[in-house]
Amino acid sequence: MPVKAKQKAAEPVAATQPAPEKSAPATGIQFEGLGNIVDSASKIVLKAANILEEEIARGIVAAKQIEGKLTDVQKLRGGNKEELLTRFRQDAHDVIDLLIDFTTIAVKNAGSLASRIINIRQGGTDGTDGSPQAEDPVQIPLIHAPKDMKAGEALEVPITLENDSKTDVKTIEFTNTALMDASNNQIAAAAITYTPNPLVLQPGSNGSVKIAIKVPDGAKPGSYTCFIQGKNVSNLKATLLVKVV
Amino acid sequence: MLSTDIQEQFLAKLGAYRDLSLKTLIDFIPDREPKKYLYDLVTLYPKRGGKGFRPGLCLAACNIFGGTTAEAMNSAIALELFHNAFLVHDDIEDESDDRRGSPTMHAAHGVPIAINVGDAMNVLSIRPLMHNIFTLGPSLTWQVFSEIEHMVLESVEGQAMELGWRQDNLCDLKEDDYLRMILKKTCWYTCIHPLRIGAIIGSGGAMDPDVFNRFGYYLGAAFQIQDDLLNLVGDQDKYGKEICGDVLEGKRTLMLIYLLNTCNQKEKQKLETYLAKKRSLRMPDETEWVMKMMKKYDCIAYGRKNAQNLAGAALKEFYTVFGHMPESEDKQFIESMILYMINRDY
Repeated sequence: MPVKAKQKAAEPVAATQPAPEKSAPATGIQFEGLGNIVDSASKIVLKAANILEEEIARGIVAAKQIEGKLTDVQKLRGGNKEELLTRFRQDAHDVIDLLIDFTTIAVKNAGSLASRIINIRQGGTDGTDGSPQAEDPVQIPLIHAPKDMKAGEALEVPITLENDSKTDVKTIEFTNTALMDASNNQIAAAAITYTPNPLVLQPGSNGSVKIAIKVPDGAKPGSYTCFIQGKNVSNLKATLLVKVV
Repeated sequence: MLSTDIQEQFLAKLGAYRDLSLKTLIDFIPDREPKKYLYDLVTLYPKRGGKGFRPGLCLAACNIFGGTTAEAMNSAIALELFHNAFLVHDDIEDESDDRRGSPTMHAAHGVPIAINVGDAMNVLSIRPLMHNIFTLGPSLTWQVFSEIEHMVLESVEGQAMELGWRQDNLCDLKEDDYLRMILKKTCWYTCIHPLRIGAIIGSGGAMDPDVFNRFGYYLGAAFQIQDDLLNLVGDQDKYGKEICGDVLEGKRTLMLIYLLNTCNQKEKQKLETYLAKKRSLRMPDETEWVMKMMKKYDCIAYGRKNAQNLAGAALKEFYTVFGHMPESEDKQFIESMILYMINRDY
């Protein structure tokens, strides 16, 4: 599967996003009869964005399953990773993929979900001989709340996690710090809740958790962040960004 | 609408890429027997003047991202061969009569011969990909192979979805089902992978091909909806396929799905009964009734609006992905293709 997990260069373009600076083609193309569709909301476009992400995510999971069967991971790691076939992901062992589910949020604002698929490496070993992998630092993904929020507002971010361990059941109990902005304004940790919590993942299965964000009345505007982690899964960590306006 | 000058430039470029890739494609066809029942037929569809979107996108993307037309040519003709192989088999599966203004392969030469010709085209498309090793080296060659493998798999999965819907006469489909099906059946191989492959080759593997996914999807979806619209209301002489052929085939187009979800219960039952019949048993007056229903419920306008919205989204994505690249004929070519996709009449 050649399609990788992240779109690095292109922000997703949804009709709810502001138009790019170059709003009209230099080549003289006219949108006769199309009106302002470039900037207008379009349900079908947002649905399409959602479906594309789901399909890509499915492909990644499928590719990973094949990869686990076909590739010698130690050998792959010994080579030049950038040149190793893009169809194969770098880490075939014991990965939990954190896939932000577009099911509800893409419809509201697909544009804010550039980092929708995140890989979190679990454990400090490569799973084969117990040796540490110092060259593969843990990545901490940034999760954007799908839209700006106002005081008193609430929203949910559905997330799918996959346990591709063939043997271990993963019980993930989510916890988080308080949200804080650059001016030291705080929102209590209790503003973030998870359903279900804990999330139990059987070997080779996936499951969903909803991260519910409730901005309390009176919260001051700012870009707030908090740190989310799994209590009993050492490398399941993420930063959540919530913009309060 | 595209201005006349821009449209002429676009069509000239598209034609140039198509002719160049066709010439190279023919060079890959073995000059040996059996010609009458195989190799002469392999070039039948390509020579009928397909539009050449796929090689055009691949070659243009390669040039934009620093490569040459020659470097991407093997991959471009492989795309075109795969595409034509799909068409031959699709026409059998859909029981279509016309393709590009002439009888379909199976209508002219029989189903067994047509299946074999389609198989041969699939196999023949592998050779130019193998030749990439001489021009691109092993790493890029393998990367292109990986792209093709994904492309073909998605296409057959998408085709399976659509065929299954018809076989089981599914009438409760939604817009989402349609969007997923055309992503798999059409968009990966018509737009996304040609762009990805071109950019991979042009950049020597440095380009992240994922940046083209959205652009290619929106562009391909606009293309497919426009194609389905032309099948309903197009000019048969220009379009090259029988008008209303999709209705006769029971093809689950966006417009049909919209109709099924919009009409009243009695009308839906009648429509379901029509769709449950074999194609050969669908009477002309029944097909005419379906068209009347489409008119009654503004299905054509609905399809047009959605094709335009997707084209608008594609244009926006175009500026995101290509905006920073220097102006060039190829960049303008891809930009022009967006509006051409929804304004074309063939």
